[in-house]
Amino acid sequence: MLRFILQRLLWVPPTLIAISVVAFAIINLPPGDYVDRYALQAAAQGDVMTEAQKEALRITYGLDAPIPVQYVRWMSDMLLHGNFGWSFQHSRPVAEVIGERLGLTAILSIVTLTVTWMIAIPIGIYSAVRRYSIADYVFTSLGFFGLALPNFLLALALMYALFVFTGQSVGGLFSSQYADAPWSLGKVLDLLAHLWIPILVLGISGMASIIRTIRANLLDELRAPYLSAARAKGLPETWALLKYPVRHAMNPFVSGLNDVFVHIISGETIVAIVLGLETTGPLLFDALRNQDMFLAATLIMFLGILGMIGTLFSDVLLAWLDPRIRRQFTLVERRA
Amino acid sequence: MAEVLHDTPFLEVRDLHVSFAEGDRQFTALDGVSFQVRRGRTLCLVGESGCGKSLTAKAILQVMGDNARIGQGGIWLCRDGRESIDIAALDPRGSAIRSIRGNDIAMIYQEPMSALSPLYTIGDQISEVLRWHGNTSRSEAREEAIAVLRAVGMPAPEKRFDAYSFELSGGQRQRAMIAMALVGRPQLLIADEPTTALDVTTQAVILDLLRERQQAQGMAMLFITHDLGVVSEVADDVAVMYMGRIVESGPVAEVLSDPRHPYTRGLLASRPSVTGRRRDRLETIPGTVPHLHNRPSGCAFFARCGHRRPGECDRQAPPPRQLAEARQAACWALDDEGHLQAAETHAPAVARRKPDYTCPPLLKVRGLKKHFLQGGGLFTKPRRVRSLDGVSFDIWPGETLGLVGESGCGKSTLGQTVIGLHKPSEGKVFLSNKGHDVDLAALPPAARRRHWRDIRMVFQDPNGSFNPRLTVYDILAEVLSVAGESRPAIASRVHEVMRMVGLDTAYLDRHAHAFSGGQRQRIGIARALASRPRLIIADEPVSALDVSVQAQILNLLRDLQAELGLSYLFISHDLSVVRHISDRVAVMYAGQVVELAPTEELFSAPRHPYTRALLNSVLEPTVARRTERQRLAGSVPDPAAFPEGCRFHPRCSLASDECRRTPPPLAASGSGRDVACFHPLPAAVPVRLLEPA
Repeated sequence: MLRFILQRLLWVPPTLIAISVVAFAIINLPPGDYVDRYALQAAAQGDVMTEAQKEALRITYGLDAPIPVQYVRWMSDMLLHGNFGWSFQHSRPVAEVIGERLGLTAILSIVTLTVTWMIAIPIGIYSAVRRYSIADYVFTSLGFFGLALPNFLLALALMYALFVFTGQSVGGLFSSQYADAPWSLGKVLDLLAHLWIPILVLGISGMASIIRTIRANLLDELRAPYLSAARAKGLPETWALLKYPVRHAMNPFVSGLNDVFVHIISGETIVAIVLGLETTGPLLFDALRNQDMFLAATLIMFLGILGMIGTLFSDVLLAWLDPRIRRQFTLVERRA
Repeated sequence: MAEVLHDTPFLEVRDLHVSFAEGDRQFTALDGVSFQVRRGRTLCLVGESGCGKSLTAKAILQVMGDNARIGQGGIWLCRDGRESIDIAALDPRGSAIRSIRGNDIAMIYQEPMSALSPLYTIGDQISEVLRWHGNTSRSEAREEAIAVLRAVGMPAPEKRFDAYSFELSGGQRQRAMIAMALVGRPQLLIADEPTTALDVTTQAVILDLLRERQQAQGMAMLFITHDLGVVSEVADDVAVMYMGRIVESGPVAEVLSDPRHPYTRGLLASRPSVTGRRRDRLETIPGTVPHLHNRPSGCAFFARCGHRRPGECDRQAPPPRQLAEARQAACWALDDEGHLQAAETHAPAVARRKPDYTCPPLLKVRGLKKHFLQGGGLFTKPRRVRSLDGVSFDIWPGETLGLVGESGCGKSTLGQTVIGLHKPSEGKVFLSNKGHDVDLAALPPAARRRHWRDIRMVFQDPNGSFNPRLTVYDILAEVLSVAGESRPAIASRVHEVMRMVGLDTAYLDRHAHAFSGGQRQRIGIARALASRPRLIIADEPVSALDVSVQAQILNLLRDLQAELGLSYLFISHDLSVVRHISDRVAVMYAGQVVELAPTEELFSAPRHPYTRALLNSVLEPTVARRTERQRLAGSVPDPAAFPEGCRFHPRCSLASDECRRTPPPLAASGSGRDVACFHPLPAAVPVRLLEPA
């Protein structure tokens, strides 16, 4: 097992380099650079920049060098000095820009995921065990509804309804008075008061698909002879269900967990934009739009790392849950 | 005390009705089943699949599934010193039934692989019975589970306690399953086809084990099987089921030697035998068991019965008739003495074509090897699995060569390598082509393609070998259109092969899943026939079929051979089927042929100890022979690590030092038979199995 994890970790650095190259290349694919875009914006305000001014700006930002050179500089800064580059758009170091949003994004995503799982998994189990009951039909219909309805539409509708009925503006994660204030009990309560809307919006679609997956997996397992055998041994019904089919049904779910960390950070960009949430999703979106290349490349690389961690995490979790996979590893180890 | 209790009913099922709800409709699955299971005795429930045997077992434990309901009738449990209790009246989720399950009544499931969860150790699954039924501590439960594992003959029980089901061999898995049933010391053991998934050799060992445990614990046993050979081995009493009714019941000797119901007779007659006269054709029961949705009115067996009386049998279902003490049959065609009137049989004789051994062989296989590399990765060396390790034989035109052996001996790999699904690691496969021998193994793929039409394959699972999106027409036409034949030529050939296999050409635009198992296998045979092959490789073609349908397919294969002069390489684990259909038989062990002989000689006087052991394991539905037999212990060796010398020596009672050192060559031993053994059994002394009963 340990050997397996170590082997996987050995693959991390080459993969990371590959991701960073690809990320950097993608950012540089569109014609023009940040300076062009900046000049365009300036021109729109009647402030025309000369070629000389643009060139000077490029030299300042280091954009005059060939792209491979820029890549090497960015990488060596990152590895040697922990410097992820400069965000043109925000006029601040990339690390700072991302850092201030990372915490909130993680809180929002982790709370959303936890709430989603805690509600969706029991419902999925119930739906499968009591198939074709009224509750199953209700949950199934709600599930389809949640799947079919675009998130951002739900977010818009909810915001509109809350504004009409309570007169309250519910965008963002904080009320205006707490937005820039230091952390205090009041700020935490304020956060909780705002948090439920994104959780609800993001949760409903996530819940819908988890309910569907668990229900379908479990329905297959309920037909398996080992459940009948467990009943024939005299096990209480609930225990038999949880110990055998439910545990079996969790496997496909766990193996699908590899992108969970990616989700935590990327979040639902469109919903975040609609709700005005200050998470990393909209940050990446804006960075890409404005060709704020170091910010965008760093974020993309970050997502890549999280994707790898997530895959390792779900593989290890699966091996821990499923002796068939675990024994395969140990077998390989023993032979090696 | 045991004397007093012996023979009294422990379980009495009375007029049990079970139906399935599908939407708003109810379908009767059990239609008034009655029987008794007595202490210390074994009742066998026999019948084809879909007759309600497993459902009966599950009804007794109330683990039928959500859409099944017990209607009328009762399941009375008579425990010592306690009031009788009607299981049918208990709440299936209540505590009363739970205290019975695993405790008074335990069940062994057919497929231990799927009835044991791979996520928990077998020890956990065995000892949880104790932990739920009493105040047994974890360590006590462990002790007891290990004791039971030892009692069922599990090697190294302390270690196996912590093993997972997928780490065990088939026989060990079934032992674990049996231990799981026995650990609660049940008074009734229900065994649902416990040996069907096992090799004959393992089956014999497991049946011995069950009998021994039954005697040791004085249990009653309800044993469900489709195999009349197994019935004769284990049963005290038999109940034959057809479509949810018991059609005949009685003591095993009487039912098997003097069957009264036409269905029982049909089951016995359609089964090929490893002893007795070889028949050119098997008697069959026409048709198949109807689906629950199409339960006929009157006698359910009416449409398939050779004794049917229209106007009588199809009006009203026959009630069970008492023929003698403890002997019943339910049939209108019985006369006043309870005997069945003579009737038509379904076995018109056909002239059998003998293969012509004077002409050159159609197929010559020489030194064929197929090794697979398994596993291996960045840091590990792959294992060399020697599935085929030097096999040679000939097949003549019009001949059937049977190929037998335990699972894992390489028989399927042989068939697949001959037809070219695997590239041989070594060796040659010569196909006679217009007087020349072509080495198929040496041909480049493009040239090989021309010979595809000559050798075709029939698979065990016809369903899995059909593309579900194709119609029967497309399935049959595929090989012809690949060969570039014209549309009208394809159409006429497709119609022709459909008629050859006895299917209505009106079905051509249906999909394979619309057919029954037997019909699907006919389609599989038609597909093989379409390109006018000279050799058909049939890999377990009847193993998935019920005995009556199996007989129909075997007859069909025979007829086609007589008509078309086909050759077959017939691969099967079932020795009685192989004996029925083959001209010569090759016995395989650990990737090699250990004996090859004309069928009659092989079965009447096997010379290799392995052949004898295989034959010894075969169970025949004749009662007189429940003798002590020599059992073949152990299992097929790991094909990546064969033992030195003769590969059979660790399991062989005759093994000498020479056998442990040198592998014996396959040598001619007179009258066209080859044996690979340093100590072949004398040709003159027949096996005990073949002594007159």
